[in-house]
Amino acid sequence: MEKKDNWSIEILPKASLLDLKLGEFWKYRDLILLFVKRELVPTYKQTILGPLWFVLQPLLTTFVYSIIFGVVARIPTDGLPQLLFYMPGIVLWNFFNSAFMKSSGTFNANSHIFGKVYFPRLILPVSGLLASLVNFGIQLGLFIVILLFYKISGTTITPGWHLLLSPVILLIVSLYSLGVGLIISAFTTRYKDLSHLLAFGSQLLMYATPIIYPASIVPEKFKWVSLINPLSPVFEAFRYSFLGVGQFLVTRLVISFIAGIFVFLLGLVVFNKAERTSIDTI
Amino acid sequence: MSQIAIKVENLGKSYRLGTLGTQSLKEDIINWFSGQKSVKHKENTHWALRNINFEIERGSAVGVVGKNGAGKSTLLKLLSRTTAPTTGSIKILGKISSLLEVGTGFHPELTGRENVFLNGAIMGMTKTDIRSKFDEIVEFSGVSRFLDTPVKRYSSGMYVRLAFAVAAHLETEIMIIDEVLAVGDVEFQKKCVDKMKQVTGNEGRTVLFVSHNIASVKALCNYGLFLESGQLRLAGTVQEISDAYISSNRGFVESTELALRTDRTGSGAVQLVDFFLRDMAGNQIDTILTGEDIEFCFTLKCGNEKARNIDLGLNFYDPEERNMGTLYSSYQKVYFDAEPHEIFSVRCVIPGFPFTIGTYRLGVRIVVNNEEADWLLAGAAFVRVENGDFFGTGSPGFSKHYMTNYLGRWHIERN
Repeated sequence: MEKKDNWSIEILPKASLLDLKLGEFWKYRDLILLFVKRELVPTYKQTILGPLWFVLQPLLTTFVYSIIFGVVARIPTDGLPQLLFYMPGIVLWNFFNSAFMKSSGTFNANSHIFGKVYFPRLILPVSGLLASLVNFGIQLGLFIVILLFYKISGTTITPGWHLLLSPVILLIVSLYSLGVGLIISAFTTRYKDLSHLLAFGSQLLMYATPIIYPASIVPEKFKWVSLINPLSPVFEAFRYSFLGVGQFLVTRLVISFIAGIFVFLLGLVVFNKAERTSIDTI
Repeated sequence: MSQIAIKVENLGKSYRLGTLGTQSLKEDIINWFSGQKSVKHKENTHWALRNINFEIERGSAVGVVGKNGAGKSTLLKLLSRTTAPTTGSIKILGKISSLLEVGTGFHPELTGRENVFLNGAIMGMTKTDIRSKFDEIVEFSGVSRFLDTPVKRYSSGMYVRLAFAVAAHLETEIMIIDEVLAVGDVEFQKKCVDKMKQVTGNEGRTVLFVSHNIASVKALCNYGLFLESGQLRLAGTVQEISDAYISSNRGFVESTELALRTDRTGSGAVQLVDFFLRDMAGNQIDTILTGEDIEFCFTLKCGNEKARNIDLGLNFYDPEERNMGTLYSSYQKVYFDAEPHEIFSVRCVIPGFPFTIGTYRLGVRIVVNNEEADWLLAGAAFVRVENGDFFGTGSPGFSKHYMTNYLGRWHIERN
């Protein structure tokens, strides 16, 4: 007779909120890499410039921002060349935004797969994050090349020891992009309104974060925005590490980090609950 | 000593009817606060499956039959874990995979090779598994020349063949197979059937096969589950299931007016609303005598638009659900037109009705401009045939042993 625990899979109506099935997640690790590849490869297939697009895209964005915010709106850049000032923020924002968009669209974009086959759904947002990370690496490399070029040609730039903390900064950004993304994706299975608000919301968040302006020029009456935005100190710190301008606020970074962990865990739990029946409501 | 591979207890799945919108948000909030489902919620629920209990022994091949809407696909979804049940539990021993998700996750921009790996991994294989099976998969699919071409350039046949090849090479203890066999050309279909037989024949592997087609269920399975309106009507040997399914089907077809039937597919441009049989004297009859000239009378109704090139086909299934013969008006270059909302009759005389004693299920399909307009899933009628004078000599033949009579012209020559 079969023993009670002999079953390899038990399917029940409700699972415990904290049963995150991480062991199963590990079993599917090959799938994560393949999904990362699926995210990255088609972006340059059938293009003449190929993988060059990975670096062209941030360059062009930086160029556009330099013209609009630097030349037209004359927003100060803490005395640095505009290209140099905008780039770290844009590169880091691209990472956040792409990981965030991918994870928040998990259920809507993949319902055709989810309706047919089971695998831990968390694989998709995580692969989205990793793919965004690869992109980020390439863009960061480009930025460093430009940075060195400016340094050699005599611009005063003082990267600090804080650079060593940039993995932590990346981790904080990852926590938020995944955490918030997971929460939103869970709600979009029932309320698609959210997916319409998403592009707008992300743009708003971008302007609320010191990316195309230094935090120091924010007028007094808008300071609260930067205070409640957990990404502000992170982006400032990232720029500070490379360029030595702006602020590096340790306490606010730590608060952002801790809050980020909570957001991420909340996201995991909500997502886990939504994945079980997402296909019925989507 | 047999082990249970799948154990299903008190399984149920309910869906909420209606659309999700502002009303549902309001309801959700009320539900959250009150901690219980509102009365309204209960009224709007539809139970797609309810109180299902069964066990499947390891190594058996089980056919799941039932009409559309009986809950077959819901059961599959629950077993393959794409959605969670509302009540009850499913316990599974071993890895489970299903052939219903052919091509899931195929990315059009990626090459055939890349997609084999991606698709295999989605279905739970590791990279090493896939690599060891890769040559077999490619050979089975027959698309080796196009492996490094993006699959968006594939013909739909090639696409499906590659996808099926991956699915068929999954090494899982339990496989769920839907009627995917309606894909590809005849040669590939045969390959698939052989593969399925091989899989079911393999020791220790459990197969669930879902189909409308009783004949293929009987060919592949030894046990069966018969679902009806979300309930498990019967679990038993494949013969018991097939008998129960056919007789329930017959009861349904004979007791429901054609015009009111909802078990139909097709555009609805022209629909069958009535059917009866007449002998050559014009009397309506309900039993055919073998060898008689019989007039099949169909009453059709045209939809909202004028229909051109209507083609009507009829086919006969024997009690084992084998198709005994098909005749479309188009085979004889007969097409007809209809005005919007027109009700008209189409009659077809079959001289010397060839089939022998038994009850045949009559399928009727209407095609308008090469597009299916109407097809009754459970058949249009059941036709009873008694022994008649097919040969015109009074000889009954030996008709208990075969289904079709035919006439010959005989010559005897001597040197």
